[in-house]
Amino acid sequence: MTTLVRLVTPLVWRVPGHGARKLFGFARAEQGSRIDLLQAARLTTSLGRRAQYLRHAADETRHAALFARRSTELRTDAGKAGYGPPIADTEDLFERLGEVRFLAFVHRGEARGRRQFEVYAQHFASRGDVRTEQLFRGILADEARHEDYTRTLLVELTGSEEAARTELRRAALWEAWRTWRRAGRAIAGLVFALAMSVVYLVAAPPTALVSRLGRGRTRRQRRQRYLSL
Amino acid sequence: MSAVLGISGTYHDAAAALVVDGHVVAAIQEERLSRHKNDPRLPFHAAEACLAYAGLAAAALDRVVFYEQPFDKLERVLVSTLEVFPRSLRQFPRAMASQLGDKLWVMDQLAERLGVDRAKVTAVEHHRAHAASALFVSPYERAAVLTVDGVGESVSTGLWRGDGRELTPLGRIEYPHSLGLLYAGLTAYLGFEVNEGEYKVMGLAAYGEPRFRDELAKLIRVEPDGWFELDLSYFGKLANADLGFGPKLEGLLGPRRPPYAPWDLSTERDQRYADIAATLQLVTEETLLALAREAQRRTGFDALCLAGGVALNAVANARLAKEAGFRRVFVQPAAGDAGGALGAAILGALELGDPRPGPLTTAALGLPADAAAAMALAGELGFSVKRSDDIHTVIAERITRGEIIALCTGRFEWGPRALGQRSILADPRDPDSRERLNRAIKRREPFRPFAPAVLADAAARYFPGAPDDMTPFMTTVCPCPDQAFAAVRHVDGTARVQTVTTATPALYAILEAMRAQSGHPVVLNTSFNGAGEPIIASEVDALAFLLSHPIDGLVVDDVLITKRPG
Amino acid sequence: MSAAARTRPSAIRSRLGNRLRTIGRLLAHFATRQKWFLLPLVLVLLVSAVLLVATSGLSYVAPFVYSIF
Repeated sequence: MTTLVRLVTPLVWRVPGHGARKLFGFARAEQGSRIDLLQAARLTTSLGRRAQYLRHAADETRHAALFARRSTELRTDAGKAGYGPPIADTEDLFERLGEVRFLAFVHRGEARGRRQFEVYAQHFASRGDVRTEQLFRGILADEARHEDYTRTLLVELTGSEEAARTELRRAALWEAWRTWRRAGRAIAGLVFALAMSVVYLVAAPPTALVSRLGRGRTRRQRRQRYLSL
Repeated sequence: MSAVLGISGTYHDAAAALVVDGHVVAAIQEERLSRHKNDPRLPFHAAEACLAYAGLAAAALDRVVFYEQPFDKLERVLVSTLEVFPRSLRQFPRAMASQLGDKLWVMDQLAERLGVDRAKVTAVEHHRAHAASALFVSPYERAAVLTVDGVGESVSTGLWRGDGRELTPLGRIEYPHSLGLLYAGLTAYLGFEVNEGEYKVMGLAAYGEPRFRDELAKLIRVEPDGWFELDLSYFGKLANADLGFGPKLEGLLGPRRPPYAPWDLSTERDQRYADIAATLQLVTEETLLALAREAQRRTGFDALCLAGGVALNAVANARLAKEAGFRRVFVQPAAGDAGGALGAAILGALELGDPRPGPLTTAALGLPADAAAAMALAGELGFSVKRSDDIHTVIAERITRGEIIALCTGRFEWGPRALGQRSILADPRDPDSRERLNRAIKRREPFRPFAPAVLADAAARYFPGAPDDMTPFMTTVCPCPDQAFAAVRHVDGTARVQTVTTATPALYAILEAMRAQSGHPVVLNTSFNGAGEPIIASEVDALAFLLSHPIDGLVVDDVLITKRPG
Repeated sequence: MSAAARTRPSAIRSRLGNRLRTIGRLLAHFATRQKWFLLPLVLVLLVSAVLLVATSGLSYVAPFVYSIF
């Protein structure tokens, strides 16, 4: 994974305008994480973990703001308006996965994020973009902390190192399944759009014709429905 | 006697409302629990929360009522996209995806996820649900009802006669001729997000001069009796669902404003956009006035109820109250689509023979905050925690000193306004407080005002015309002649005031304490949420907010929580 | 409700039954009141809907995932 990131980073971040878009995407991902952590804080049965999830959520809030601000700066430099507030939706991960699997999933996400951001920090350092480098370095430290505490909690909740590792493997499997479904949705979406376009072109003209003939849509008929029913 | 759950959702701002034996027991928007702003997904969290609050099992429900007829909606979407062949080629697959993948199966999903018999799940017409949500919780036995929004199944505007338990439709205007879509189209043109930025357009309007009347007269033609039609060639709605307006509109009004560009009303460019907003607001008000006068003429009643997204336009509501020929006007707090859940539930209950609910006295229909849980969690987070027997005096003192205090007490509100259960409070006379609120927490555009809350018995002194049937729910505006209240006074000299009685006990006590200390029972009251987030629901959300925002204190019921001791 | 309860064979049968009844009602809706001309189109659309139902329920923003590209 890290190798892939290393390979594509110089290319991806050099596409004009893409950097701002990517950073905004990161801001939305952080916002999405925040929503899931808030749900975790509401639903966990342990006071200690509730506080930990809340602190983590507060970090994600800050990260989202930092990414969004940098994205807006880059857009402004390019003479464009920013993308607005980073808004995310949610899959209710905690509710669906349960606390143990949720922790395993978050741990993997944080670890992956840390490795990815290390590459980005180096990349921007080598390009002399100190502002963006500092942004990633600052967030990196938090990611490492999140990685640690989720790991500790995972061992605590599963009872052993061994069991925690099993959970991490299961989380990896679940993630693969989810990635597969996301890809499936994208492909299904394309196939569906294509099918619908064909349906539209074949079926719309005759239907539209009959429909226009058959329905009370003249001005007089519309007005009549206002005057009395 | 029955238990009925009303549901709105799948388009925008989903909600659930529970009516038991003719009483509105709970009403909750899904976004408050899922923390996803304007969450459109079917509101299962909200539904479960309503049931849990009432101590009911889903199996005990006699009826689950959806706020819209799915087949009628599919039919309208199909016909309206097909009729503009071939312009709707790109829109068609997307529209079908959302109809067929999701909306068509709504009633099955409700039955399955809630665990109720499918035969108990029914649906009512969208605008009837809106009308019911206003009339049946209003203080009026008889009233004219006006429902105005973007579009339901196919209706965009409805005139109703409401009498006792009966709602009789008198007339309707159908999609695509829609005041809501006109407002939405221009909201998008002005660079704001549709279904979210309409408030901003209303705030911006006060900064402009309505000098585009001739241009807007080309977009919408209104008959003296309120009937109107849009010139569809200006609206992209039919061909491009994202924009809501077409290139011809830019030809008429000039180029659209790029979204999210910072505002500077001292520039000619932005002033022009403010003038367009002002004209749109004026045209909206005049159209609503014509509709309302017609509703008065046809019913002969002296009270008006208003519902639908357009009824959230507090400035227009104030004009309706003054000029439409009614003695009284009522708009319930969740006038938008969320409110459809309440209307659906009440319609179900009436059909099962239950009595009409009494007038709504409070919007606190959500879940209560838990002070003990807040204390424990705040302690764990290392905050300073202090319980007080006289918390309202403490709050008033701190506010008068210029502090910003977040309040989380009792059950959270129904609808988009914070009304003293989940509110951020500050000194209404202190421009610094407002400046700090905006910079550190709300990050609003400079033209968006903050609102005051005032004791109802003293309201007339500060806000002539208040209180009326709308001021308890902040669905109207009043003049604010006293310039000392700079932090809550809009540029046009009005304020979106909330009048407070003992029905909102905590805020009432705080305002009494403010009166004792400063002589004025008035406070700046803004919703308790971060920028772009839903209003706080639980004490956990409130503490998460405190972690991330520089407020001076958080109060959960009678507990004061601060970041530092002192 | 647990995930297991949702996927029990009896639950699947009842869900399938609900969907089929909804399809029946939908077709009945379009078979009346001058809407017959939409019927063939609705049938085609229903067949394509299977794709969408099978892939629904995912969020559009992936939390804890930072895209590489």
